[in-house]
Amino acid sequence: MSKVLAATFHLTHQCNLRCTYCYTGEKLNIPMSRAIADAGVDFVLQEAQKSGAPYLDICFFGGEPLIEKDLLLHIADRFRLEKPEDCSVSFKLSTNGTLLTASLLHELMRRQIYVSLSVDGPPDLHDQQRPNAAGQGSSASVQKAIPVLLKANPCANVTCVLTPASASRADETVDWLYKQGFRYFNLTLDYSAPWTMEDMRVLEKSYLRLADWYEKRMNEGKRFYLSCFEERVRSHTQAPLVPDERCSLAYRQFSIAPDGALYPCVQFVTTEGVPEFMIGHLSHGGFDESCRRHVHNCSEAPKAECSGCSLQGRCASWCACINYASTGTVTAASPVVCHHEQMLMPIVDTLGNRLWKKRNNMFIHKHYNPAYPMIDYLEHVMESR
Amino acid sequence: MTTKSPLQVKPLRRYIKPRYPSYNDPNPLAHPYARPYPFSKRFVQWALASGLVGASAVSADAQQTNPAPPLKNPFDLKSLGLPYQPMMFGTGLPERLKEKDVREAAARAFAAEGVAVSTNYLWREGTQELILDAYDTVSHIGYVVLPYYKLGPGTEREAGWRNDNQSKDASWLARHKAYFKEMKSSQDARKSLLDYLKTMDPARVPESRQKQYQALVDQLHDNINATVETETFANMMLDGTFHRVRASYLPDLEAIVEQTITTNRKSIRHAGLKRLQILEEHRMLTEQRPVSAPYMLEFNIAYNLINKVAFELSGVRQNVAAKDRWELLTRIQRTLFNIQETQEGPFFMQKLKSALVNGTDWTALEAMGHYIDQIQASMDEIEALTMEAESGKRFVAMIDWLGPHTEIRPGVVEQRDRPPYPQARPDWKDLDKETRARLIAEHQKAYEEAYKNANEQAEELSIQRLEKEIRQFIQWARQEGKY
Repeated sequence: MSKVLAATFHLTHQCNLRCTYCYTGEKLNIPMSRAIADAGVDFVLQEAQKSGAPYLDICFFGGEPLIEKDLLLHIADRFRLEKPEDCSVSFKLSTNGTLLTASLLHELMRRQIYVSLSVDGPPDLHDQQRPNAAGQGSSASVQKAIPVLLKANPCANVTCVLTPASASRADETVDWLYKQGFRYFNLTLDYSAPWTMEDMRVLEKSYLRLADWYEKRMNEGKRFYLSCFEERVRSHTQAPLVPDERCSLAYRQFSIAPDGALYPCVQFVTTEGVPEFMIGHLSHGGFDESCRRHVHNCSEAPKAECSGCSLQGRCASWCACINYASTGTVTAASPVVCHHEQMLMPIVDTLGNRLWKKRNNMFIHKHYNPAYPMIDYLEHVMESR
Repeated sequence: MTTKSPLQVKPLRRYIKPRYPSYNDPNPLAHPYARPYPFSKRFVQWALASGLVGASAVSADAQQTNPAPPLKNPFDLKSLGLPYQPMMFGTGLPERLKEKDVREAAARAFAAEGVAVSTNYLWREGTQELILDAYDTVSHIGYVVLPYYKLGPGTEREAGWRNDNQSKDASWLARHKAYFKEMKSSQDARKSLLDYLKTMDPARVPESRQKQYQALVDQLHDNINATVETETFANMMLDGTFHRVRASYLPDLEAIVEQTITTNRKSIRHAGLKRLQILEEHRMLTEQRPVSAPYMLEFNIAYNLINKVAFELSGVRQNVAAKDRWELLTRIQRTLFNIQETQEGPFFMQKLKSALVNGTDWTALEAMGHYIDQIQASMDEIEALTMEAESGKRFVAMIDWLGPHTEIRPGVVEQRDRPPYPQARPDWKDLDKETRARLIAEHQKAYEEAYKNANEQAEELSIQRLEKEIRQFIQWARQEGKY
């Protein structure tokens, strides 16, 4: 069984940006109340004790969670104070960076809250996809936050969302972010977008260029993490995830909405609410076990449409969240994932073959040395000093 | 305005396995020539200052100054790829040396080390039996090559990520054996092969399917309902357990099944005739005779059932050596044709049962089953032999075909990658269609040639490596066995 219990606190439905692909609904000023937050902390600690999970993974999400920074710090402090001695807790914060200041970052780092920044690429692309409430680009304010964040944590993660409109610029985006100083890239697709074959072909070309970029950097002995490539190499170099190792939707992972409703994953927390996926409520006794079990079982059911596929075990078709975003249901496999995996997997494997043929030392250590993550972290810290 | 094509979920039936090592392969960092992590100067200085390097760094220089490692068994249980993880079709297994090459390498290694061996030595320990390929009764050193078809019960990992539960319960095998033993000893004519259906492995043949078969068999001797009969027969023909067994030697099986499903009883007869024709091509049948549809139905069922019996007797799986399988099937088929020769007409099943229970063909079948039990190595037998080697009693190198010893390791030679995507060649962008096609063809040809050469070189290196490992094994065995 997985030892991690992951809970996400959605601190508010409000956000100062209006990202084109945002799925969380109308931006209303509905913050999580202090009472709900306290009840949430108590509930998570109680669940951790019940499930015997020695690791707690607390994530802050929104809307923009930094709008409710006091509440955020309050929740983190309560966890630090009240967690059992034999339980470790880690914090993650996903932010658009517009409200991130040096003093606030100091507070976050003091509480060991790991900050992940959402940046969609060079300024023009970022502005196009992530305008603010007034319709103006947000890149200027984000660019101010980048050096501040990287100074505090050289291993900070950056999340980029690829949409059909930005599909042709994946390589450019990563390169730009690399030049800004980021080394941990989390590239993800907007799975709810109406992707077409034509878009996928454009994305494929972009990935091919990105593969060349990746190879070049690896040949230079650079250290970095590019999720879309590393995860697919990992799916070959390490055994496929068995159900117990995955997020186990609704059981070892859940989200707390600002009103106290409990959902299986961040994807289901919207301003309007998705009652069919609500698995309980903090004000009404916590989890509704039958709903929780039902959602979990639906998400774990085998996908008939994937039957006989050679990529099973390497593909992400198990992710209920993505399936929901793409198809509106957790029981059907996402066609976007299907095409994306079938397109990206050979690109990554060909790249892996090339690096392996050259016996690229960085590639070998990155994927076969269990101590690599620690070494990588230490090296980054040393470099930043 | 062009219409954009929406996406659909389409399973990918075949996928070429990447060349870089997977989680099933040895860790490349465990290789003696693996390079240490390229720490930055700054990091090394810091680590030296804090004493970290002394504790954790991997140094190639350090390896060179170490004394030569003591001899060790390169064929110990850990180094075998057993029990093996069944792989999904399409993800592929690493390329392996040919069985012939493995045998030749082993023979060369033993000759080079001066071990005189006798072939096909029967090792027996309690109830365990295994025919060793070569064994020297003086030095107690030998070897057995374990290709896929020689791997018996327990050698397949029971529960993998595919949640394969087929191999979990082997109690049905015991039921089969008990049933046939009883049938043989009682000489009871009332017992027939039809009862065999009841002992089918529930994990492989669901109960509903068994009922269908039973219904079909019942109807064969009563009023035959053409619709039910055709449908059930088609199901039976499609059943994976029969399918897998026969597909290897009846290439036209798919066509037969398709005809059976899609058309009427006439086609069943046609399918039967076609099968006879195929058998004739395999020199199984001396003459082709006109037969009736019910007769052919019975014939097919009997044929399938007896094949299943034979293969289950041979050790749970169908992975019997091609040669042995051929011989076994020849015997079975001859039994059937002997009956066919002497007793014409319907009620074939009853006659077959009678022939099997009372005739001598059963003995031949049983003997063959026993022989196959002897040549197949179960996990218990492999462990017992390993224990014997560890205790210095007997040294048998188990050259496991699924393990790292016989693997043709990728990347030993260059140019094994696929040619680049044409889209990835910006210099080809402005070329006309014909030039580009020619370049692609040239590239493809060069790649195929390089790939072929690379394969041959890698294979050669793998053979040399295996030979060296076997010689190391003999040296270790001599050291341990004080010979």
